[in-house]
Amino acid sequence: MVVSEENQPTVEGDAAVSKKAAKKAAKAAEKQQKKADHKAASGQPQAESEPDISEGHYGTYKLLQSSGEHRDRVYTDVKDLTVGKNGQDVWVRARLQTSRAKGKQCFAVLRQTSTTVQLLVSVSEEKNVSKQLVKFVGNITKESIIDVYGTIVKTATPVESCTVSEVELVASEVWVVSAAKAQLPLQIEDAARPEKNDDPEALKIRVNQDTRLDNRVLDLRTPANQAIFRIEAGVCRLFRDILTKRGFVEIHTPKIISAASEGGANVFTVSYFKSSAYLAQSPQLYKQMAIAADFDKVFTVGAVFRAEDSNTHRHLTEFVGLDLEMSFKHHYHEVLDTIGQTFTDMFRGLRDEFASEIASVGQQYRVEPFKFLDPPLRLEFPQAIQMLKEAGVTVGEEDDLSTPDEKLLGRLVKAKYDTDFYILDKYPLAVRPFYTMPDPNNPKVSNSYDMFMRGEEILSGAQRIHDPEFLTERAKHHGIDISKIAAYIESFRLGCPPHAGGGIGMERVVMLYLGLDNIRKTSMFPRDPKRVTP
Amino acid sequence: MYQMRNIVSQDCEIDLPKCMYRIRNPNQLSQCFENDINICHQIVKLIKRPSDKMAELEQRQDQLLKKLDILYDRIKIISSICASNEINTKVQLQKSNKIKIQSIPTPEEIVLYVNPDNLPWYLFVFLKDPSIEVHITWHIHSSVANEKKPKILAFLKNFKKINLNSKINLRLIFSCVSTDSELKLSSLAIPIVSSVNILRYLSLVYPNTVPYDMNDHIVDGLLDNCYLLEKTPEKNKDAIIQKILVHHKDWMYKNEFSIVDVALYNVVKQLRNKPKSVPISWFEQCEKICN
Repeated sequence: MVVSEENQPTVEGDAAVSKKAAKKAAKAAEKQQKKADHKAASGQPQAESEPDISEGHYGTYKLLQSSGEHRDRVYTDVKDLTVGKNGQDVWVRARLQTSRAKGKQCFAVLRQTSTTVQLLVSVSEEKNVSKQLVKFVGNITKESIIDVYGTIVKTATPVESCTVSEVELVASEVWVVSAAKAQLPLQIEDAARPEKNDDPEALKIRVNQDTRLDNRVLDLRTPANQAIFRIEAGVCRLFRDILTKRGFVEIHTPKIISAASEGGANVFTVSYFKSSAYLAQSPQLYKQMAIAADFDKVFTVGAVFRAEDSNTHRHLTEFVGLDLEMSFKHHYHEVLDTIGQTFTDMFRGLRDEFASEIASVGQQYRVEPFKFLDPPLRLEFPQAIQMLKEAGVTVGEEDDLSTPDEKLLGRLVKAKYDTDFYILDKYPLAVRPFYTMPDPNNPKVSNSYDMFMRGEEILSGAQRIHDPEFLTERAKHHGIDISKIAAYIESFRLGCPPHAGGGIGMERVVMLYLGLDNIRKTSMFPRDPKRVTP
Repeated sequence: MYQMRNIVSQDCEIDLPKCMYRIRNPNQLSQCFENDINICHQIVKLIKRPSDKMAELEQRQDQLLKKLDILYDRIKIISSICASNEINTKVQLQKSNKIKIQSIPTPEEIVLYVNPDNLPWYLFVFLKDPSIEVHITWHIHSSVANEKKPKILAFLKNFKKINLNSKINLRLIFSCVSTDSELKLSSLAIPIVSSVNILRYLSLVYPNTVPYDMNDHIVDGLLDNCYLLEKTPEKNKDAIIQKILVHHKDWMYKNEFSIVDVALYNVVKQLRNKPKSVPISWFEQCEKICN
């Protein structure tokens, strides 16, 4: 539903409605009659008598079935329409974002991904543009894909409403390639309107999250969404590139597994021929097996499934996991530094390569730019406890941080170190899984770490126990049924190097990097406990 | 509207009157009233009844009062020390310069924000002092453009001493968010802004390294001029330097090395073109001390 601020007229009763409706209907009929009279008196004969000088220069293409026509035609991208090409005739294929026909002129906005340019169709004998062509353009439905042949013309004043502001396209041919239906479920202008606007007179019409997701194809056409998913692609590419450069090998782990990888809870069960199987909730076991198989440094990018009935702003039931595992020589900080530096390099890559996309997102969702340090800030758990204590929050030495504690800590860290990304090392052993290696100097502490962006946890990792006997002992200590994790323990019996790792959710990283308030904004087709479509 | 927290729960019930107001019957003057419930008496009885929880609460209260008494005594002692200090300030200050003490307590983690165009050369004076044990870590903030990194890395090469056992960790954050340097002692505290003020703080923490007589108004006046110098555009710097040089002989003030020399040196060191008014021999002397 489109949320509108406009008030509905007050309805006093059925009688009032019918009276008004009758008046309206009478007025409409009168208007229709006048129109018909006007047509009969002047319009029709003139149209018939006036030859269409634009004939053959506009219309709707027949269904494009790759018959081979116009294969030699060269198209120019909207972003490439520059002052340097002033006076050149070009073909452009774009969407018709808006059009406004008045008399002998029609102004329209053409959009290609996030770039827009003004289109002018003006009656001209010189260019063979007839009144009929102008009318035709004015009647093309919004969001239709059109081919335009026109001249690039430098504008006297910049067109502020378009991203290409210094030139406009003056059309001489317009063809409809694919028409959109007249009634759109949401308007792109509404979906693209900034969430917060200082102008008190600005329109306050917004589109609900659910309406957006129900009509995702249309919603994804907004400049902010175009940018978000380009940035998301950038995150994946940078993650791959940075780790590959550091000597990591990309592996692909199975998504259908026979046993739950993390304790057994929160897994989706799928029927698997005559028995059942589970959807992988983490590639951890397979990453560790790859380490045991001498791959040394591995990473994987793939879908991860969590059957958690969490209807929050940061949980999805299916997301893209970016996981890595690495063997080390003497200290797990070798791994911690690698992961931390990977993040920093990724943030720097986004800052340098996606500045225009980040600005596009910022125009709709006004948030502070993401700040980070190089090398990343690493604090130890007791330091965090101390910082919280200074702020009046007491957390026990062996307690885990609650979500509000994490949020507060994020703000305190930002205040002192001016960074939105930091690593918290040396978590209490009591709050970590059984496979976490204890700290040799303090039995209450573990060799584990969490990473945070804007005060929200994005990665949880640790040095894993690679000794099968010690692993069995720790599992027993946690009261875990050894028979259920026998395969996991068994994988370390053939010798495994000391290793550590962690995993992040791609959507969560993008959400927090851009400072968005909901993970559904960074998942192209999100899956949560209440949504499995589109 | 308001809810009270139940601190000590009483399981005893109190009989309450069943109506709010009772009107005396003028015709039955002699008759006794029903309000013999006597709530006041009931509550006194209830409070006097021995209760473990109440006793515990009273005990806690007593302990708190005792602690407050101790605190009050301590404050009295401190205020008397301060009063006597005021009388002997000058004498004590002269003495304190000779004794190695840390007059201001320092937190374990100090964060120093510096702009790559205003590097903290004054730090080296303190780092050269073998009595100062500081572990230094550094970060480059995302606001710093890639082109400025070589300059920062060149500056960092000067840090030779890494003291992992030190209790004080100084985090240097190179940031372009502000042109001013900032020293943050905690997330909640107000930062110390500008190199000159940071130098003042460090000189008070380490009085034996860089002499700073905070009661000498001339020193503070010269330091204020150094602060102005830091802020002034390059073309106007010469005029302010002239003002600072008023007391100059070998050193900037009283002919002995002091905080003023370090503050001025730190500003001059940042400049691409050293002003002609800066004495070459003085600058070379400072280079030896600060590098």
